[in-house]
Amino acid sequence: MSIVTPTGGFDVVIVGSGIAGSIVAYQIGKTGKKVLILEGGPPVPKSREEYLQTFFTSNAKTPESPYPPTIQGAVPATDDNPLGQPNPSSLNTPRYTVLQINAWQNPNVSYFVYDAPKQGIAPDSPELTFAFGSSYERVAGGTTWHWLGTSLNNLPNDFQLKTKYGQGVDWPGGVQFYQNLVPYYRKATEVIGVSADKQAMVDLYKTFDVEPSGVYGDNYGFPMPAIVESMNDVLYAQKVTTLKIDNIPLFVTPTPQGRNSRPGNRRQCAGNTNCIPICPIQAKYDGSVTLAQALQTGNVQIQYKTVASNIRLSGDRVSGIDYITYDSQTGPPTGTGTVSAKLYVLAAHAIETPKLLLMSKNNPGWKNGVANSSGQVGRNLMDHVMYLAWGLAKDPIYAFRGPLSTSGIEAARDGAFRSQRAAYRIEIGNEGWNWATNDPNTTLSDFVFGQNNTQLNGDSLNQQNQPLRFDPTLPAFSKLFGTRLVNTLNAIYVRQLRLGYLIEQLPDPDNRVQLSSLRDHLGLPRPAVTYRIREDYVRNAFVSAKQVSTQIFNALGAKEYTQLPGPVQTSGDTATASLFEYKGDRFAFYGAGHIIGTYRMGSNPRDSVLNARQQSWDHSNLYMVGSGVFPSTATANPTLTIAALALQAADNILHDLV
Amino acid sequence: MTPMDTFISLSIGLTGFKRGALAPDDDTHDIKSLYLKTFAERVTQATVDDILLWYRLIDKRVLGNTPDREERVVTVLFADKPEYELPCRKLLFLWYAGAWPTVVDTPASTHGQTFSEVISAESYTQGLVWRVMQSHPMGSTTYNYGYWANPPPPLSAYLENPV
Repeated sequence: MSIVTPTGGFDVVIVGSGIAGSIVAYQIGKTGKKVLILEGGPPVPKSREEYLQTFFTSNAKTPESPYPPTIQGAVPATDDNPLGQPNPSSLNTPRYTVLQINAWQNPNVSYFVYDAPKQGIAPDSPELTFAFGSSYERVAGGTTWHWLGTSLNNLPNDFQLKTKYGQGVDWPGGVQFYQNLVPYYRKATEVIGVSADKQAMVDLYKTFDVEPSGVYGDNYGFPMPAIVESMNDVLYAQKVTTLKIDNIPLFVTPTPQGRNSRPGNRRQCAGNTNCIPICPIQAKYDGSVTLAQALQTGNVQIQYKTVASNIRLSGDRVSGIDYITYDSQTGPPTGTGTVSAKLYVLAAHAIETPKLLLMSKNNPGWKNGVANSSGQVGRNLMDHVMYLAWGLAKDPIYAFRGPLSTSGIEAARDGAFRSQRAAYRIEIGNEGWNWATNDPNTTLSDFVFGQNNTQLNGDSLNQQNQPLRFDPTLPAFSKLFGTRLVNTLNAIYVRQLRLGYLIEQLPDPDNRVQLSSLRDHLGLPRPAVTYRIREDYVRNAFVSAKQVSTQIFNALGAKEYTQLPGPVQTSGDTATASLFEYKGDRFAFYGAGHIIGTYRMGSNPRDSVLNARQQSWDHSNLYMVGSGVFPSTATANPTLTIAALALQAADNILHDLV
Repeated sequence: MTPMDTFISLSIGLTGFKRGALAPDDDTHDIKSLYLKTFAERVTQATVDDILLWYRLIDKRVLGNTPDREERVVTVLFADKPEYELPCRKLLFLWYAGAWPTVVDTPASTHGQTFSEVISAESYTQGLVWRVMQSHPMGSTTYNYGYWANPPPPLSAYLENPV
C-alpha cells in the first residue's frame, strides 16, 4: 500500500511502531491529528502462531528466536557457524541478537561491529571492552514482543543520582522530573494493563520515604489484582527477612506485571513460562496492542518494510524523512521516497535511532548528524548489567511453572550505599536454570551422556567449597537411564532456583554507537559499538551481588551452583565477550535487554540531545521517545517509564501542534 | 512383536516412562513413529534393525515380568552390545528433548558437551523432559491461571499418562 497523504498533510511522522511510537501515535491520532508511522519491519502476523512455530523449532530459544528475519538456519550450518546465522550484510533489517554476543569479533555474524580489543589489557582493567549484552526487534510492535512484563516505577532518587549521591547525572529537574511523571506513570499502568498489589507497592515505597500519594497519586488502583506468586516466591519471602544488604532489611515484593490476572481485553495469564521469547496467548502486553488501537482511530497510517534512511533539514527544522522500501528480507530495495509532516518523532529504540541521526549528515551545517550539536548522539549507551546466581532448594519449589518472574527483592534499589556502589533490584526467577545453564537440556545431557556442565554430575565444588555432585551415591560422570534417570532429573528440576541482579550502569560518553564502514543489504551503515564497564561504582555492585546471593541461598537452606566463569581472554579473535575480573574475583555479566541512553535528555544543550520535553535542543519540531532518552538507567525495568515518558511526550507534541 | 512394539519396549527401558505415556491407545500425536523414523535416519536402518533384534533376543532370556523388565533388558543390552549404548542414549535424549543430539568430547573437564537439533514443533512440545519436571513445555501449557501457586500432580501421573 502506498502512502495516502491526507488533505492538509500529516501532522506527525513517527519512525518505529514499538510501545513508544505506538503510544505517541495513538495519543495524537485520537485527537483527530493525522499520523504516519514508518516501520522498518513486517506487520503483525495474522496469527502469533506463526512466530510461535518458529520458536518451537529453534535450536537456541533466545529472546529473538521467534521473530523475522530468521536468525537460525538462515544459511547452511558450518563448524564456525553451527546455528546457521545469517550474515547481517545480507539482510535488509538485520538486528543484534544474543547469539551474536560470543561472535562479537566476527562481523559476518555480529550485526554490531566492534573494534578488536587492544593488546595487553589486564583482565581487571577498566579499559577492557565487551560485547553489548542486549538485543531488540525490528518488527511491528517492537521489542515488547519479547519483554518480561515487569512494570515498576523508578524511584525519586533515581532522578537525582548526582545531587543525592554524587554519581552519574540527574534527570533534568531532578526529583521534580519524578513528580511531573507520576500522573503519566499512573496512565502508563492503564495503557499496559498492569496487574499488581497496590498495598505491596505502598509498603515498598515507604521504605524509600515516598508517601503513597507520591507513587501513583491519590485514589489510585491498578487495573487488575496482583498475579499469583509462585511457590519459589513464598520460600524466599519466608527466609530472606533474616538478611540485610548494607543494613537494609530484605523482603520480597510481588512484581507489578503487564500481564492479565483476569480475562479482559487480553486473555488471562496461563503460566506458559515463556514471556520471553513470546507469550503464546498474548496475556502479556506488547506494542501491537497499542498499535492496533492507534490504527483503529482512522487517523494513523503505517507503512511496513519501510526503513527511514535520512532526516532532511530546512534551516533548523526537520523538513522530511527519506525512506527505502523492500519486499523480501534479502531482496533488493523496491523504492525510495520522502515523507513530510509538521512534526517528527523518532521511536526506533536506542540503537537504530542514534544510527539514523548520525546517518543524516548531509544537511548543510550539520555534518555530525541531525540533533547532534552536543556531540552526544549515540553516546552513554547503557544496560542494566546483570549478575546471575543459581542454586538448588532443599525441598521442591516446582520451577519451570508460572510467568518467568513474579516477585523481586527491591530493598537494595536505593540507600546511602549509592555513594559507593550501584543499586540493583533482585529478580526472582521461576524458570529454574533455563537462563543460567540452558536447562532443561544441559542437566539432561549431563546425566544421559555422563557429562558435568551443570556441576551436578562430577567432582565440582562450589565457590564455598561444598561438593556439588547431586547424588553422592552415584559415581562422578554417571550415565543414567530408566527409573534412576527419571528420579534424578525430577529431583533436580523441581528444586532449581535462579536470582538475577539488575545493576544500574552509569553514563559513559565512550560507550557509544557510531557508524561502521560495513553496511546492511539496503546499503545503510551498520552500528559500530564500543562498550565497557569502567566504574568501580558498577563493579562493586557485582561484588555485593555475589555475596548477597550466597547469603540468600544459605538462608533458604539451598546449595549454590553459580559457576565461576572464565578465564578472561582479553585479546585476539577469541577474546571473551562479557567476562571481567575485579578485586581478585572473576565475573560474567548478562544483558537485561534494556538498551538505554543514546539520545539523552538533559538540562543543558551542550551535554544532552533532548530537553526535558523530549524535544531536540537543535530542531524544535523533532521529538524522540524510548529508553534512549534516559539520562541514567535508574533501577526499574524500563518499559513502564518508557510508556510514561511517551505519554508525556505526546502531550508536549499536542501542545506544540495547537 | 512388530518393530514398533520392540521400539516402544526399548524406549520404556531407556526413558523410565510407561507404555501409556509413550504409546497411548489413542495416540493423536504419534510421536513414536516420528522418533523411530528419525532414529533410523540418524544411526542407519541397519543399526536400528540390529538393536531391535538384540533387544528381542535378550528379552527372551530375561526372567520375570516385573515392572522394571524393560530396564533389565536394556542393562543387559548395554553389557552385551556396548557399541549400541551411545545410539540408544541418543534415542533416550530424543524422547526427552524432542531433539537429536550431537555429543562432542570437549571440554575434557566436563567430559564433553551436547548440542542438539529440534526435530519438529511437535517433538519440542512432546518432550518428556517437561513431564519429568512435573510441568509443561515452555510456551505450551494446558494449565490455567494460578496453577503455579500449588504443587503439581504427583510424578507418577506424568510417567503413566499420554504425553
